[in-house]
Order: sequence, then C-alpha cells, then structure tokens
Amino acid sequence: MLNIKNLHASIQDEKQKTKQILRGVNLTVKPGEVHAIMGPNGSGKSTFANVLAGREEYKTEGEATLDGQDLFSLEPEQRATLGLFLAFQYPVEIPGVNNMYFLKAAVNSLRKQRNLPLIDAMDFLTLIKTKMKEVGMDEKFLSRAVNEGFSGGEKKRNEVLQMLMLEPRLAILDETDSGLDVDALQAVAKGVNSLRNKERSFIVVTHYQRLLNYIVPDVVHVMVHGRIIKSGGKELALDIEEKGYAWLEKEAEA
Amino acid sequence: MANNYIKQVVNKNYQYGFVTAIESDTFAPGLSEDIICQISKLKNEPEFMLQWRLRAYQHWRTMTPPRWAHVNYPEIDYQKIIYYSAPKAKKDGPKSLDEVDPKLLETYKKLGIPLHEQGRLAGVAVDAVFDSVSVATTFKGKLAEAGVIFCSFSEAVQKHPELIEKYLGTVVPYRDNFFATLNSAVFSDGSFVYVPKGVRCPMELSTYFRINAANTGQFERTLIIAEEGSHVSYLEGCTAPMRDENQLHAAVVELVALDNAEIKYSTVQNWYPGDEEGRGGIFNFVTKRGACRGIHSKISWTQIETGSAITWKYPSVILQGDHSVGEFYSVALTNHRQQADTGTKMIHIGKNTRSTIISKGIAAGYGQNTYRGLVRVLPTATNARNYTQCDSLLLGDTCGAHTFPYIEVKNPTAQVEHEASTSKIGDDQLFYCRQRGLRAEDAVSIIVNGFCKKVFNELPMEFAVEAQKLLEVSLEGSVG
Amino acid sequence: MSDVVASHLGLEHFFEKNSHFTDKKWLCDFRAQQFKQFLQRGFPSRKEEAFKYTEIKNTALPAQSGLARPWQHSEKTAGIKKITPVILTFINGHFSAVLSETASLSREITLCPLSQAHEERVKSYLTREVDATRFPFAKLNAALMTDGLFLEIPKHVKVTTPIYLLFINTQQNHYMTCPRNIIVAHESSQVTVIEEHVGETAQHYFTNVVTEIHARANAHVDYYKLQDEDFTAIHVANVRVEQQQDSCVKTYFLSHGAQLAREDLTIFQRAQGTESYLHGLYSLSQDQQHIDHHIHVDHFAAHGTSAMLYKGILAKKSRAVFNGKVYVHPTAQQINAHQANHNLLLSADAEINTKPELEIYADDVKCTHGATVGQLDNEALFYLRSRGLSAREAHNILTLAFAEEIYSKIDDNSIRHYMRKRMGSHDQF
Repeated sequence: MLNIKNLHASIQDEKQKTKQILRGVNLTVKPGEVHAIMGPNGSGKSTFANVLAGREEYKTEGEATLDGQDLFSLEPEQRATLGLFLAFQYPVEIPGVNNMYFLKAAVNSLRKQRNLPLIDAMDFLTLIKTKMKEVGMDEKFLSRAVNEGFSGGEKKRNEVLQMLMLEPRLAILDETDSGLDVDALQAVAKGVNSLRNKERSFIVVTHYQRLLNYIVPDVVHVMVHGRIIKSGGKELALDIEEKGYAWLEKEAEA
Repeated sequence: MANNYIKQVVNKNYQYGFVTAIESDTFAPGLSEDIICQISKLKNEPEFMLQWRLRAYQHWRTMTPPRWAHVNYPEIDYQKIIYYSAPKAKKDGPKSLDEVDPKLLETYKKLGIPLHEQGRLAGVAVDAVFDSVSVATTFKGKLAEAGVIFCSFSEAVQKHPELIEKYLGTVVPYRDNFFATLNSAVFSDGSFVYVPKGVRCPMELSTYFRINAANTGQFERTLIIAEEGSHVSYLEGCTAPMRDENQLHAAVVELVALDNAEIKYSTVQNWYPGDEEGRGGIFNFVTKRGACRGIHSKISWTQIETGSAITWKYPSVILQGDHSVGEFYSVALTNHRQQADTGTKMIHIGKNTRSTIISKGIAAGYGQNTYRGLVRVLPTATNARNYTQCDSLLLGDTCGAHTFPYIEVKNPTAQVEHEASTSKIGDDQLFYCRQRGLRAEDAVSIIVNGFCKKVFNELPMEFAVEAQKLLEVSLEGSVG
Repeated sequence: MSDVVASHLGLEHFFEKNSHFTDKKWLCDFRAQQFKQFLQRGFPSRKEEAFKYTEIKNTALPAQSGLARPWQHSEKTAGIKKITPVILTFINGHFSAVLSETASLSREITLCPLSQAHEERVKSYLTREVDATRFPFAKLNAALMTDGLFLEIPKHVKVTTPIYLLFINTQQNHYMTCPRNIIVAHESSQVTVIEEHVGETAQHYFTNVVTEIHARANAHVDYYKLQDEDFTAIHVANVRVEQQQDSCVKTYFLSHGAQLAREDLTIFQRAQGTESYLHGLYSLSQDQQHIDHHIHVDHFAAHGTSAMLYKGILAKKSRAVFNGKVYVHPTAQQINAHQANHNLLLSADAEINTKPELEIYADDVKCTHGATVGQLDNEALFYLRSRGLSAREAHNILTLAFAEEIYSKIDDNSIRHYMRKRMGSHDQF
C-alpha cells in the first residue's frame, strides 16, 4: 500500500541554512500491517510522519506512493481524501471552532471529494457519541472548541476519535502515547485496535516501548539520524527497552 | 512562509466595481454659505432647517479637523469635494417601482438590492439612496397602516417638520465633533423612521447606499424615533465602486428610544477598501449615537465592517432612563492596508442600567485594527453593569490589533467586567484542518465564523448569511 | 542586631543537638556547610521582593527540636483509612512505625522513612545545592533536616492506592521540625501522594518542610498538600518539582491552618511535552492569619503546558499573598500557560495582595493570566434567604460554591470527598 524509496527531507532553519533530517528512508507497508517506528529524540521520526502528511516547510527528494499514487504531487487535503490520516504529536488548538462542527465538516469534506452522499446530522451525532464512548471521552468535549484547554491526554483521545470517525486507509500515529497515563493509553490502544483489519495499515511512531504492549506491531523499525537502521519483529522493541539505542547506533556504524 | 494557494487568489477584484452612466445634477466642488442655501432650496426646506444648517456651517468654520494615532490618512481638502449630486429623475419622484429610472434599477440589481425581487427579502422595505437623493421607497403602504413613518429624510422635513424640529440634533448636537458639524451643514439625505406608541414595526427596515459620482462626499443624516412601548429593527448596508480618489463619508445617525421602546440598528458595510497599496478607498467617519431616554428602553448596535480605507466610528448609547440597556456587537475586518479605529461608548447615567459590548476584530494582510471603547459610569448611575469582550484574530504576521479600553467608574456600586484576547490563525492550524480533508479556504472560513459567531447571531436573520459571505469574500488571499 | 546574633546562637545549639545521622561524614560536612551559608545569608527581610508581604522574623524560630510522642490516630485522621491503607506517620518530626502501615504496597516500590533509606539512593538528592537567596528556609532545612519520606516508583509501575504522608504536631510547644521528603517517579510510572501537616494540642511550633518531586519521562504524579496546622504555628514549605519529557504533574495545595504559612512551589519543565496543573485553595478564618503562596513555573522546553488555579477565601482580619510567576525561556516555543487567582473577601478587614506575573522570551506562545477580588453576590444571598435559608446558611453555601471549582478538579472521588470534609465549611460565623 505504502511504498517509500530513498526519501530525503530537509528544512531551512532561522539562519536560512539547510538542515538535513531524513537521509534516505526506505519503507514498504502492506495492507493490514502495523509498523512501529522507534528512535531517539531527533532521529527524524516525527518529520517522517509530517512529510508523508504533506507539511510544506520540508523539501523532499525520493519517492512515496500510496496505492500507487505519488504522494508528493498531492496537497494535504488530497492525501486525506486518499485515506491518509495523521494523529499529531502536539495537536493544535483552534479557538472558536466547535469540535463537533469541525468533525462533521471534515467527514463531509472527504465524502464530497469521494462523491459520496453527505452525512445526516442525526446519524452523525449518534455515530460520534458511540465513538466517544469507545475512547473514553466525555460528551461535553463535543461542545468545546477543537483542543482548546484540553489536557495532553484529552488531545490525544480527540485525535483517536477523529481517526475513528474518518476511517482512514493508512493511519500514522505520531507519538500518540507520549504523556498518557495508563487509562488513557489503554483507551487509545483500544480505539486503534478496533480499526485493525486486512485493508487498513498503521504506522505507529513511538518513543516508549510501553504502547507496543497494547498495540502489537507486525514489524518494528528503528530510525536513527534520519534513516531506518534496523527492522525486526516485536522483540526488537523489548531489546531497545532494555539496552537503549546506543548499541544499535554502534551496530549501524560497524 | 507563503502558501501556494494564497498566491492564486491575490487580486480578487472588487465585484461591485463599476460605474453607472447616468446624468447627475452636480454642484461645483467647494463649500460656502451659498452652496448650503442652494442645497436647502433644491430640497424645498422650511426656514428652520436652513437656519440650522447655517449655524452648523458657521461653527464648522471655527473648527479644525481631528487627527488620531493609529490611523494614517492624507489631509482632506474640503474645498475639493462636491457636496451634492443627484441623478436627474422625473420632477416629482417616482411613485412606484415602475416609475424609477430603469438604469438605476439595473444598478440596484447588480448590487443585489431586491427592489425587483420582492420575494427575496420578503417583507423588507427598502429605501434605496442613490448618491444623495432617495430614489424609491417600497412598502410604504403597509407601514402606513401600522402608523410607522419610514421615508427619506428630505421627505420627512417636508411632511413631518414638527418631528424633525423636535428631535434633530438632540442626540448629536451640531457642535458635537468636526464631521458631525460638517454633516449638519451639508447633509443631503438619509432615512427617517418614526414608530408610534405601542407599535411593533411589522418588518425589518433597510437602506442601501451608493456613492457614484467622482469626488462626491456622502453626508447622510438618519433619525429614528421609537415612542413608548414601540419596537423597530433597522438595517443599513453599503457598497461603492472603484475609484482613484479617496471618498469621504461623514454620516450622522441619531436614535431616540422612549419608555419601554427598543431600537435595533444593524449595519453591514462593504465600502471599497482601497487597492492593496491603500489607494482609492473610502474614508468613513461616522457619528452614531442612541439615547435611551425612557425607562426600560433598549438600543442595540450591530455592525459588520469590511470595507473602507479608513473607518472611524463609535456607535454610542447614552443610558439615561433607569433600567435602560445598551448593546454593541461588532465584527471589523481590515485587510491589505485598511485601517480601522472603531469601538463604542456606553454612558451610564440612570439607575440599574446595563451595557454589553462584544467586539471582534480581524486583521489580515497589513491591516491595522484598533478597538477603542469607553464605558463611563456617572455618579448618578447606581447599580450599573457592563460586560465587555474584545477579541482580535490575526491572520498572518504583518497585521496588527490594538485595544484601548477606557473604563471610568464614578459610582461604587458599578460592576464592570472586561475580557480581551488575541489569537492567530497559523500554519499549524491550517495544516491540521487540511490533513483532516478540509480545503484551506474552508478552514479559514470556519475559523473566522467561529470567531464571529456571537456577533452574527445578533444580525437579523436575512442578513446574517450575507454578512458571512461578505467576510469570506473580504478574506480571500489574506492568509499567509 | 544583637537579637540576630542571639537567636543564631540558639540555632547553633539547635544544630549541634540535632545533627542526625552523625555517623555519616558526608552528611555532617554537608549540613555544616549549609548552616554556615544560611547564617551568612541571614533571615529574609521585608526589603526583599519575595518576602515583601510576609515577614518571618528571626525571633520566630524556636530553639529546640520536636520530641517523639506517643499518639493515636484521632478523629481528624480516621478518614484517611477510607481513601488508602498506605500511610507513613511522623510525630513532631519523628517517624512512628506504630502508626504507619505500608505492607499492602507492592514490594517493587520503595517506601520508607528517609532515616531508613539506603544511603546511596538518597545521597545525591540530599546534597543538592539550594539557592539560599531565593529559598533561605530550604537552606536551613538542608542543614537541619530530620526525617521524612523516601518514595521511589520503578519504571512503568502504576501505584493504584494513594500514599498518605502524615506529619502530626502534638503535646509540645515552641519547637521546630525540618521534614524532608523525596519522591521519585521513574519513566512511565504513576503515583498519588498526599502530604498532610496537622496540629493537635501543640502550639507555637515551626514546621520547615522541603519536598521534592522528580517526575521522569512520561511519568504521572498527583500531589496533594493539606495544611491544617495549629492556629499558632508557623508553616514554611518548599516544594520543588523536576519534570522530564512528557511527564504530567498535578498539585493541589489546600490550606486553612497556621498563623503564618508560606508555600513556595517551583516547577522546572526540563524537556518537551510536559504538563503541570497547579491548584490551590486557601481559607483563612482567624484574625491575623496570614498565608503566602509563591509559585514559579520555569518553561525550558517546547510544547509545555502549565495551568495555575488558586482560590482564596478570607474572613475576619486575615491576609493572603499570591505571587504566581511563569517564566518562558527563549527555547520554549509553543507553550500554553495559564494563571488565575480568585479571591473572596468575607469581611471588610480581610486583605489580599495578588500578583500574577508572566515573563516571556519565546514568541510562539499562548499565555493568559487573571486575578479577581470580590465579595459574595448580594443578589445571590438574598435569593437564597428568600427561599428560607438563614443568612449564615446562605453565606456558607455560596462560599462552598466558590471553593467547589477547586474540588471539582480532583479526579478521584474519595479524595475529593475527603478534602472537602477536611477543609470544612469555611464557616466564619
């Protein structure tokens, strides 16, 4: 489903100097697979996620196709139409915009672009209330502005709620587990696991191994200095938990 | 960080920028006693009216134009402005729509004014002011049944001189300020509304303005009187064509609400804002004031301002009557190089008075948006209550928003609350919305709408939709 | 001047008499050095901004330490059993094994009095440098610390029962204690700690406590501080919180005791994605009662969130001081910082000095602050009375309603209930 070849990404810093972040990432994700990407701070994991979603400040080189379509020729909303979803690490606040209204607008925007009928208001309300129960979110969050005044855990739950409502083909979770207490973590994992099926794929970017106890990955990759230096099964995550990243970096240099 | 989609829609041409070629009865530029006498004569005014104008003119000559910080504009040469321009129509004016100059009606059609499409704004009477003279008034009949007088100011001077004499200048005295004095001397026309005791006006009243001839100042004068227990809702909306010279607009609006009366005054303003460099827009200096004379009287000002190169207006309410209520709801948008210095004054005089101020400023491009408000509680104003909320929304980082709230409380039982916030629509928010499948324009739209919701809710329903559209159009190309 | 010298002498004796763990050389040397530095710095004076409104004279310090006393859990503390079986008790500064109960806690968690902790585990914490200029009493505590809590939660462990730390002051007058508490929550762990200081039949004593909380990456710590000291006592506390990446710390400071209380709370957000939610409720009901909250949040890294909500209820001739400072370093972009301090004055003689401060050196931040001072709403009072409630009942209901906002921020039902009860009805009649 997702094919990434030799992906490079760079950004201009405040002094207009080019900073290389991704240095040749290769990745193939088949339908139904869950891939975890781990790595130390600054390895490029978040950049990778944001570049796939279409963040404009990065300059990219290399190929990335989703279902055969060239991602880099598409605008962010077009990638969303293709079924790409990014759960942000630090979801932004949008004051004045009602959470429920926003979601309905997003759902309908995608339906419109896929030539599907728009969702009925009552159906939408019923659907969203069900999903909110799944992620353990109180209904009062529907009437609040998007992410405004939400705690870290509540913001992450809101991301998962949106994912449940938009039903993507490829969901990229950017450190969705950071800062969550155990209850929130379990709710988030439950939400993600409920979407797992043969057609849908996930890329789970995480800093802490803990999440992978709940969302068991098919493949684990380790990203260091903008490149995937090792891939393996779920045991790899446990190795890292024990030994840290240093041993891998040494291995890569050797 | 420039977004590509912005570069696409940069110079959205002002869609109302066109000129109607009609013969105009135009004076030579400049102002003198002579010009004033001519204006009064042309309008067939009674003596008291001419005298009032002349007193104002004499006073004006002793005054100097004001200048404020935060608003930059070139000096206005008052002798270069033409103070009267009327389209040549049949002598006695049209009695029904059929008699109105068809070219004029076409103009109105282009502007979307529903003189012809009665169905569109069902039940709304329109007093279309073409340049300085009222052209047509519809639904006069229905209003007449209710006893409501809604006509042009000029007509009111003719037909109801006693009402004019009684109330004119009692809320905004001719000496009040430079532009009000100028207006008092040379006002051309405007609207007059009188609602008798106990009458609830059966429909929304509306007026459209248009400035056509070059170098024409527009000096409307509007007077609305709501007698005891009456209720009226009035909407004012404006458009103007593209011009190279700056055009001056100095109107005066006076509202009088007696015991238990309510006046709701809404404005949707869409003046030409000047091009991206700030050239050629409208100078909008307006004095609007409402007097809550009676007990339990209420006056609400609702305004959506998206045009004019320079806006200077402070709709105010004088809360004289005990238990009177003043409200001010405003959305002011500045884009490109517009400047707005707007706000309100709530003067609490009587007992148990209440005022609410909700001001939303949106600044984009190089726009500068200033809120200047005054809440004054006089020593006699026991138990006065005020709630003020001023919020600014910045689109991009070259625009600016400033807030100057003045709170003067001279009575210890007063309760005054003030909240202010500044937020911005940044790249992060836009990207978030787009990742969820929303197009960028839609994203800006819902964010701005969410921001202005409280104010839109105060507009008469038919115009709330128009206001939203107006903001959308005005914001195109604004986010970067 | 001679007063100062005299009381310093008194303290020196105090120091000699109360140097615990005299067998540990490193500790003795450290303490002596700290004491010397404290004397050099001297007592804080009114001329210092941080002590402008709160003066703690050198004469206030008692020259003797607290003595161990037998005691039984009283009515006040009976309620503790309802929220947790885990409790560590100190009487007049001394650990009481009889009144403590830690067996139900899982073995992997380290919970013991400092005096019984492994030297190597606590050495680095105890010998940390203290800024004498800013925190003179913490400096004094470093020199004179007696005993306290040592709590360490290993990685990934979620402690389901709250841990209660109880300091009782009883049957002795004119003494001083310097408790020292260390709480370490390792990566991705979770714990709730309740620290209480209560006075029972002790008078004119001085509690000088220092508590430090280390929340490592992704850890969650909920910290409650219940201050119920005798109305003649002085309570000076310094709580210091060090937060690592993605950690979340919630604090609740509930105070209604002591004649003079000074709470210094300092939060250091050292890495990205940290969250700090700080709540406080102070209710003063006595003439001359004085409380001072000084809070300082240091945002060093990006994507941090901090929110301060402190509410005060002041009756009679009481006085409160609130100083909340948020400092955003240039590296700390995308910060969300909120401060609010709301005060209810129930009498014309009550006084509040409130100063929320923001010092912001980064440009992509969202910070708000607000402070209000008000009285009970006459209309609301009248409404309740018109429905049959007495003036006193109406008063109390509205006051409780004001306080309720803080209680509503407590997630755990039983703790919320308990705190409401302990703080009382704020009845000033």
